[in-house]
Amino acid sequence: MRVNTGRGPAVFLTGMSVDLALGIRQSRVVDRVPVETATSAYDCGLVRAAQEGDRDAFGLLYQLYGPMVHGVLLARVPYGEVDDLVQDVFLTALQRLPMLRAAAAFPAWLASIARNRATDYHRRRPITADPADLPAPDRQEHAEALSVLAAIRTLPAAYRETLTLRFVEGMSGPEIAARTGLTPGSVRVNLHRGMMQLREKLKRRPEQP
Amino acid sequence: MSDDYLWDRSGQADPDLARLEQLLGTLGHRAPMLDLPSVVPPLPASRVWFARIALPLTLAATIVLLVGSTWASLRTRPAGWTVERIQGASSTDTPRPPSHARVGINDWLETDARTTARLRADQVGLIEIGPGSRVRLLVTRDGEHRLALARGILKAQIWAPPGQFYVDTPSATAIDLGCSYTLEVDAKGAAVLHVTSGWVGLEAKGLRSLVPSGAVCETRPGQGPATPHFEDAGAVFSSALADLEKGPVKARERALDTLLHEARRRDALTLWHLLARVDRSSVERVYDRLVALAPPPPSVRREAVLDGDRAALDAWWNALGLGEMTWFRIWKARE
Repeated sequence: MRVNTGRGPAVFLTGMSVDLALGIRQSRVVDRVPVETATSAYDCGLVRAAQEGDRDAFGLLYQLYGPMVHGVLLARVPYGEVDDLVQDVFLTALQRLPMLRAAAAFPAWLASIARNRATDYHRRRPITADPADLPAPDRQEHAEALSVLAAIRTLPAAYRETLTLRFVEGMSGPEIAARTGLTPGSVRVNLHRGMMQLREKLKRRPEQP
Repeated sequence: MSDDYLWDRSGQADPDLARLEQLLGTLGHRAPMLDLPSVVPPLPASRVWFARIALPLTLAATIVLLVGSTWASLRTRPAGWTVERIQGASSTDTPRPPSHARVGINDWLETDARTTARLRADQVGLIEIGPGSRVRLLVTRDGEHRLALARGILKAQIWAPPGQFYVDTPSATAIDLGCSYTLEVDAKGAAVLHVTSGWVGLEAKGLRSLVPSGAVCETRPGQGPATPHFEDAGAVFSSALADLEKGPVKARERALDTLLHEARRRDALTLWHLLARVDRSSVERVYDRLVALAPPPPSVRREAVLDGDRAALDAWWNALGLGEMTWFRIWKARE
């Protein structure tokens, strides 16, 4: 039985399993949603349910928006600190959620909490390289990934955040717009210009051992 | 080089970008469990009264219970559904497929042009997914089960209590009220609902359509559900309804004349819905025709219906014998 590979780019699949014998593709999209469906209405429904105390709904919001928060933080704070800060952001969001007036504003509101949390992190600690960010000779690819991430972090805030969401979290441009509340036009410009600057920085990097 | 691949991975893949994706993707979010071990979120305002009047011991127990439930619900993975049976063409070089797979929360199920899949959830029912379809499991828990149908055909046979099974489409949400039905969504997000048993509620954009067995209803993106009608309605009646809803404004007056003239007693379904959808100058005509076809209960006053009084409309609906309004109201009360 042949498998229809579908339209692809609108949906980023993580952990996809393709069962050729079944003739269906069963995709595990834990942290992605396609933008062509009514997910914004669905997301608003989740937000409103969470505001009423529905913990399952909040758990789903965590699954849907966790990568965005992770990416926004990763663009600003050491890699080793991000997971804890993601938890902090969602704790803060849970506490403040009843005060959010418009469910549709949730993506931008949550992104703002993440950015503020990153700012708070740097206020409380000197900006130094976290030991986890120092390259480990026996983990060359991981070291190279952190090196590229360090280059991304030197870009202007709008570019580094968008590029982190695109390449680290694997979100497409439309998904970045949907999850952050930015307009697709802004995201596209940030990606294009950010990528131009990143290419230049990567060219000027010393060769990796 | 075009930035289409950078934007949405369309077009020709850029090798540099693909390398960055492969390299940096290792740093991405791995979705560890959300851990809120000792924080009780502030209660929503509507629940504050309970906290204030509870006895001290009870309050302490309540706090523990809230913490525990928060912890448990955020750590709990809802059960998934079983993909029970597949039908479709097979090639000789493909091994015989296994009989079951599992679809969990937020999983997508996509069928190719020749394949039909069936989802079974013991507490809910059977859902058949037709060829070329894409469906996602959103929620499955006590009291609520929800799918999203992005495109394709879904046939549902539901035995869960009414008001518990939902299907989200790009143009409306279908609410099972004790039935079996077929729902088809096209590439533009428009949908057509055919009910074969029981009835289904459709809602979006502030509009609600109640669709009983033997009736059909369209939904349109940005507009919500259209007016339902029975599938055995005459062609002239159906055409007039389409003109009334989608035709030029100038033609709608004539379309309404035709529709009212052609309406049978059974078409009271359509006329009842039109009471809330046509303008004031037309609603009296619809009312008069509906009275002639299916008189309302004595308690339903003309003025109340013309004013759109919900209780009056509900009472008239119940008198039509198409289905109790109670379940629909119970469903709405939950939202």
